[in-house]
Formats: sequence, structure tokens, C-alpha cells
Amino acid sequence: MASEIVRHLTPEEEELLRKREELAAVRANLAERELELADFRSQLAVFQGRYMRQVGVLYAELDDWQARIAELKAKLDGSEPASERAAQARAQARTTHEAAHGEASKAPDFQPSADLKALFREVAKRIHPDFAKGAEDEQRRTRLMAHANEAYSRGDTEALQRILDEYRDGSDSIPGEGIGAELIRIIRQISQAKKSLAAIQKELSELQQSEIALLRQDVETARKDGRNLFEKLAASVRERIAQAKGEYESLSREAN
Amino acid sequence: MADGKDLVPLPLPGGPQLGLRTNAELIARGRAEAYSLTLQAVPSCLARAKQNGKWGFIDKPGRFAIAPIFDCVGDFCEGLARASVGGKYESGYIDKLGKFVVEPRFHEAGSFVEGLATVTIYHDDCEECEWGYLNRKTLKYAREGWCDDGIYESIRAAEKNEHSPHEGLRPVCSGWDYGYQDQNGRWVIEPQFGMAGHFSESLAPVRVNDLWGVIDENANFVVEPYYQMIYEFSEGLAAFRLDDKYGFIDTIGRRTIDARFDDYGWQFDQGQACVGIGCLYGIIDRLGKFVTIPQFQKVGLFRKDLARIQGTNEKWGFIDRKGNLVIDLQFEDAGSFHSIG
Repeated sequence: MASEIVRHLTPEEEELLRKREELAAVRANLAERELELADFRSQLAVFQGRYMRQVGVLYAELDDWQARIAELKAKLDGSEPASERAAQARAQARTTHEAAHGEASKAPDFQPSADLKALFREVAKRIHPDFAKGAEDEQRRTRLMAHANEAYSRGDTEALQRILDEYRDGSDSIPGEGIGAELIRIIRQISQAKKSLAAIQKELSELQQSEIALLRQDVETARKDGRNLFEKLAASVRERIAQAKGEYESLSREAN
Repeated sequence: MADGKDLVPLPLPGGPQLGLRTNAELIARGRAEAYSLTLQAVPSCLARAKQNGKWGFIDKPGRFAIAPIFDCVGDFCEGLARASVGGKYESGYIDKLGKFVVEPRFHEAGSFVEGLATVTIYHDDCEECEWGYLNRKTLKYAREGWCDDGIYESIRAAEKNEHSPHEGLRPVCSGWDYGYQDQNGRWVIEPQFGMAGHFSESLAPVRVNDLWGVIDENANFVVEPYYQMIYEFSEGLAAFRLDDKYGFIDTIGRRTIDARFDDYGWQFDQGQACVGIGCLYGIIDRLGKFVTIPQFQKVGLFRKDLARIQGTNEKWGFIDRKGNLVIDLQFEDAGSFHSIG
């Protein structure tokens, strides 16, 4: 009976197999966490856009009326402190206007689809800089990962697909690399990926504690209670705008 | 309506990314106003609840008043609750808005009791912990010394709210036997029992030759040793075990509720006690009639008129005293309701 010829793996090859499996698991985990972070960032950006458009612009209007009142008072009063107060109020109005009408207010409303999430996960798994095979490769991956994050926040599936197509790295091995060198490279990649996981967790925690995240939570809690906090806020600021307008008109009459 | 400039701005967060900081002032302004608008809606009591592996706090209608973003939290005590985030072991303290008012830096962080919380700080260099008190008013830490086991016990006791003293006499073991001492450490009842429970309603369960009875403060038996086990009295009734079944006796030893339950959960509280049939628990009234039929794996004590319960689906929810499920079984874990003030 012919005996089967079996080549036993060397200890180095066995270790390499184990490390490859560990790397695959770390890669999947990192991709998942990158997605979680990108998703949370997008949600906050969308929420911030809504806040700026619905409430921020009203604060800008209110501050503009406050500045007009201060300027009118300065004109009536003629004193230096009144002029200073007017200048400060105008500066505040300008800052508020810039924030309320700036980039943040232009964030589009979007709900990431399951396809978009799956695509991003795949991109993160394939092109994450932590798994680069050299300095040049790392630079390229960093650039693509930044584009992928932007594409995700826009909900741009096509761009994500293009990024994935653009990066074709073939196998994980480098020809002629040798077991020892591959083992060292994989161990370094695992270590780097673990550091990135910790950094993602830190960023997520900071984002979760940010004012915008807490305001979003307040709005969400109110919504579950059947209250629209944005509407309430907007109504409250509108009421103050009306008061400010009234004050300005009465001052104007006094000035004339 | 107050002018926006009169509102106290909430503290800005540390390190938000993505350019969110540039707009933080305008957002903080909205949040401060939102808070002032909804101030009446801030709940007076909250319970810990876990969802998707993270802890937050729910109000009585079962909604998250503080988002589930924490790895670990304690109950609210004197307006603050300990909490940790971001996979870090260290705890800090959050307020009723879920905002850290004391940044996470403590290895162990106890609940506040009379304005002070016992906390520990770990030192990497010597691998030892120091301990001290955190002052509720100033939120300042004052070091007391290096940790010993007693510190950890004191932190655990504060956490479990175990500082409510039992009645005057306390059971103390001397050699093999238990007796009772007064607060000055004087023997009032000499050691003579194999085991002894705390006094409550002037009665204490004691064990003699493997059987439990009940004594008064003069060491006279009001219930002769006869039972496998007797628990402490509450509202005039104490649970007993006989032939591996549980029932209740009154203060003169009459069996007012027959031994027909398989387990005992907690003593009478506002006319209700928790007992088990098979491996499920329910709640009975003083006549032994089920108010809530046994259907839960676990039933916590009533706090703020709600008791946490764990269903057979492993999820936690809350029932009221009539047995109505007022918060659905939906959480991975939950604590009892506590006042946040």
C-alpha cells in the first residue's frame, strides 16, 4: 500500500500561519471600528448641519439685531465704552454668522445604506495604512483612506468603489520575502493595528463627550418623549429676535 | 426669556475632532438653552441600564436620560455617579446630564456618603494604590494614605448602600459560638448560639443544634428552634425554611403563610415579599397570594416604586407594585432607581 507523503510544517511556518490568522482577525476588527468611527463622525456632521440651518442661523440673526441695538445705543450715547460694546457685539455677530453659515451648515442629510457600510468596511480592511508593506505603500494607503473617509461622509458609493479598484495589492506576501521577514512584518502590522484600535476608541470617546454629541442626545431624548427640541429652541430664539427687533425700533424712533 | 448672554455656557469638551470645535461655542449656546428649556423634564431619579455593551441611565418611562456610552457606572448618590469610558479602567464622576465633572483618574471610586467619596489612585511606579476622599462640594481630592483591604470593603459597602445600621445589638462570634454585644462592645447576650442573625423588630433568628428559632432581646425563645432556617423579621413576618420549602411566621411563631415556595427572594416591604416557584420568582402579599406570578429569573427590591426584573429572555425591565411591566424587558443589565439629587 502506497503511503501518503505529508510534509509537516516547520515551527516557523506554523507560527506564520497563526500570525496570519491573527492579522486577519485584527484587520476585520480594525475595519469594523473604522466604520463605527466614520459612521459616528458622519452622523454628528449631519446633525450639526441640521442644527446650524435650523437654529444656528437664528442665533446669527439674533446677534445681528443685538449688534444693531448696541450700535444705535453707541450713536445715541456717543461715549467710548458704548462704542466698545457696539464693536464687541458686531464682532460676536460676525463670528456667529460665520459659524452658522459656514461649511458645517452645508453637511447634507444622508443615511448610510448597508451597501455603503459594507463597501467602506472592505476598503478599510484592504487599504488601511497599518497594513502597508513599505513607506511608499503606507503613503498611498494613507491618502486613499482619507479619501475613503470623505467619500463615506458624502455617501458616495461610486468613489468608494473607485478607491477599492485603484488599490490592487495582490496577495499579502511579498515575493522572495522569506518566512522570517514576513513574520516580523506581520507582527509589526498587528502591533500597529492594535495601537490604531486604541486611538480609534479614544477618538470615539472624545466625540461621544463632545457638545454636539450631547446636544444630539438631548434632541433624541426629547424626540422619544414626543417633543421636538429643535423647534422649541428655534421658537425660543425667534421670540428673542422679535424682542430685539422691538427694542431696535423703539430706539430708532428715539434717535429720530 | 433670558438673553443668550445671561445663560451660563456649559464647559467645552476636550478634544473633539473634525473641525467640530470651531463651532463649539454656538453649539454650547444651543445646548445651554435646550437645557434651560427642558429643565422641568429632568428626571428626579434614574436607574443604570446597559444596552449594546454600554451603560447609561434611564428615567421612569424607560428612556435613556443619559446615553449608554459608558463602560462602567455606579448608582447616583448626592447628584453624581461614578463612570468610566473608552475602555479605560479609571473612573470619574458624571452629573445628571452625563457630563464628567470629575475626570476619570481613580482606580476605585466609591459612592458619595455624607459629602465624601472614598477613592483610590494607582501608582504605576510602585504598583500600589493610595486612597483619599473626594469632596462633593469642592470636587477636590485629599490624600489619606496607602490602601489596605479595609478601604476596598468601605468602597464596596458604600456602593451597596450598606451603611444603614441594624438595630442596637449586633451578633458577634467568640470561639465557636455567637452572642450579642451592644454598641460599646459589652456582651448583652453571652455566646451560646451556633449562628445568629441581626435583630430587627426586637427579634433575632438564632441557630441551636442545626435548628433555627427566634429570640427576643432577653435571649428568651419566642419561637423554639425547629426550622432549617429563619430569616430576619420585617413588617411582622419572617421567612422560614422547613422540609426545603419556604413560608412565613409571625412574631409569635404562627405560620401565617405555609411552606409552599421553593425559594425566598426578599423580605416583606410595603406588604410584599419575593418568593420563587421552580426557578422563577414572583411577588406575594401578606396572605401569601401572588400579586405577580412567578415568571422572572430575578426580581430586585422595589426602589422608587419600581423593581428591576430579569425575564426568561435574559433581558431586564421594571415592574410596578401591582405587577405591571412598566419598562419592557430590553436591557442587558439594569440597576435600581435612585434619586439623583
